[in-house]
Amino acid sequence: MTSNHITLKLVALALVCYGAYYRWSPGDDSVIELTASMIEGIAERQEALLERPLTDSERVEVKEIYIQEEILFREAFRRGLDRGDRRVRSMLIEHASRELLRAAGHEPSRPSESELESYFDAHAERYRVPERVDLQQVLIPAATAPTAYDDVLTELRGGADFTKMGAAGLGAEVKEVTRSRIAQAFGLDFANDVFALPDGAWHGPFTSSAGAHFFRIPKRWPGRELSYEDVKGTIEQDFMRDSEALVVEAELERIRRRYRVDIDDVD
Amino acid sequence: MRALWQRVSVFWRREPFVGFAIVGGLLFFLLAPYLSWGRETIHVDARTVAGIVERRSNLEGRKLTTEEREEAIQDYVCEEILVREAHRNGWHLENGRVRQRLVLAMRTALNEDLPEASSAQLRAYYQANADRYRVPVSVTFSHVYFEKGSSPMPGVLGSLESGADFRAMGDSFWLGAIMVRQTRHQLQGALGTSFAEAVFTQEPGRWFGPIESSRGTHFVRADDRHPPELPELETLERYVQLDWATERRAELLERKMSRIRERYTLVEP
Repeated sequence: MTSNHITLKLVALALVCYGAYYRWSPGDDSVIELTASMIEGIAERQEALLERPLTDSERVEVKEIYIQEEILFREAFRRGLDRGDRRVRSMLIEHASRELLRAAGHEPSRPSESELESYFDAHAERYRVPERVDLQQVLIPAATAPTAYDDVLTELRGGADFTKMGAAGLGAEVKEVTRSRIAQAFGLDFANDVFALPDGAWHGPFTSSAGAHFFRIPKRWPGRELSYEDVKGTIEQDFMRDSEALVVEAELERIRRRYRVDIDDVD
Repeated sequence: MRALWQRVSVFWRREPFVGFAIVGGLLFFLLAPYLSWGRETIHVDARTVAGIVERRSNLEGRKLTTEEREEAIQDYVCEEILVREAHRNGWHLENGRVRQRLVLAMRTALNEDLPEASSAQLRAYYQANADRYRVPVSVTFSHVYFEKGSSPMPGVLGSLESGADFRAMGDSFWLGAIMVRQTRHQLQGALGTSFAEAVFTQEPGRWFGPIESSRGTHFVRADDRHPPELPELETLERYVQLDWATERRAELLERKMSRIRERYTLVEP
């Protein structure tokens, strides 16, 4: 084989590799491409907002604003501002799920009555109203000067007006609060401690990152089952959401091959 | 079989490069699913696992079972794949709500906390932008007001000219019977353009009317015309300080933006 042949073959291989990379590599985020129809769309949106045609200089201005926003937007991703933002994450999850549903050709269809009834039977625990408590609270914020907590408790137990003490935290009085709601604010152990309190008397302090809390439970609401009729509207939404989730899951199964998942062991 | 092997070895001796490429390609496609390279890694570290489990158990209001714990972690992995797929397919750049939120976050990130302007800086800024703070020509006037729909009592103008107490006449007006240092712009906003024009063109010291405004009928006496004036800096200091900071921030943002812009290529039609 001559050296010319080898060179030709290497060039051909390089071209194939380059072509494959060009075809399948992610797009270049540093190129902002504005088409005539995009510019027209931007101007039309602004005209609709102002309810009048734009002047030439205004057209230039709205285009410039769009470009600036586009750069800020891409730069935000480049700097990772999206990563710590839970709302951006959930918006992207929602968007990607919609795209996968579209790709799978999913057409939402309304479930029949019998499907809804079976769904309710299979997920009855989801439609249970959990135990709730009415909760009165006095919060001494963490930033305030050291306080004699025993005095606070004595005052409260002596009938002092709790609405005039401490600072607003959960609200001086909240009605029908669930264990989950307290847990989401202060952790599950904290919520369990609060729910374990005997009714009617003031207790505390319970410390959280917000400060020292004193609680009284004036009323407790036991958990209860809900009937099919009570939650019929919600069941339909849940049914359709679950059907969509199944389609997304199937699509994910296919996509998952592109990823290697590595989960640390935690006891 | 022997013949095939002979043909392969002849081909290999004649075209070793093509032979290596074929074998390499076959190995790549056969082994690719079992190798991690070429695949993106989703690493869920111990801290993330703890956070996932804590959030889910707080939401449920109870400790999770082992199955629920595993399910919560797998849900997180699915969500992470969806987020990465959104980036991979460029969907992240198409989402209007994400765009709005991140543009705002980016503007905030580029904004700097500025120290307050020194008094010398503030005075220099005030003087350089004096036109912005100059109060334009204004007029102080007295008036007798009649609500829309009510007719003015007869002989009002005569009574006013002969020195009747204007405060005791007509209906009460929400801004008072004497309006002090009203600029044309303020009057246009409160009582309409034609009323403002009438008040500003009348000779001071004489009652005149009736004049229609957007709120009713008025008899007016221009008491004093005040030439344009620049208030003392001290009376506007808070606003001037705010304007100064807004301008400095805009300048800084502009400078940072032009540096960032250099990284991007704009393709226009």
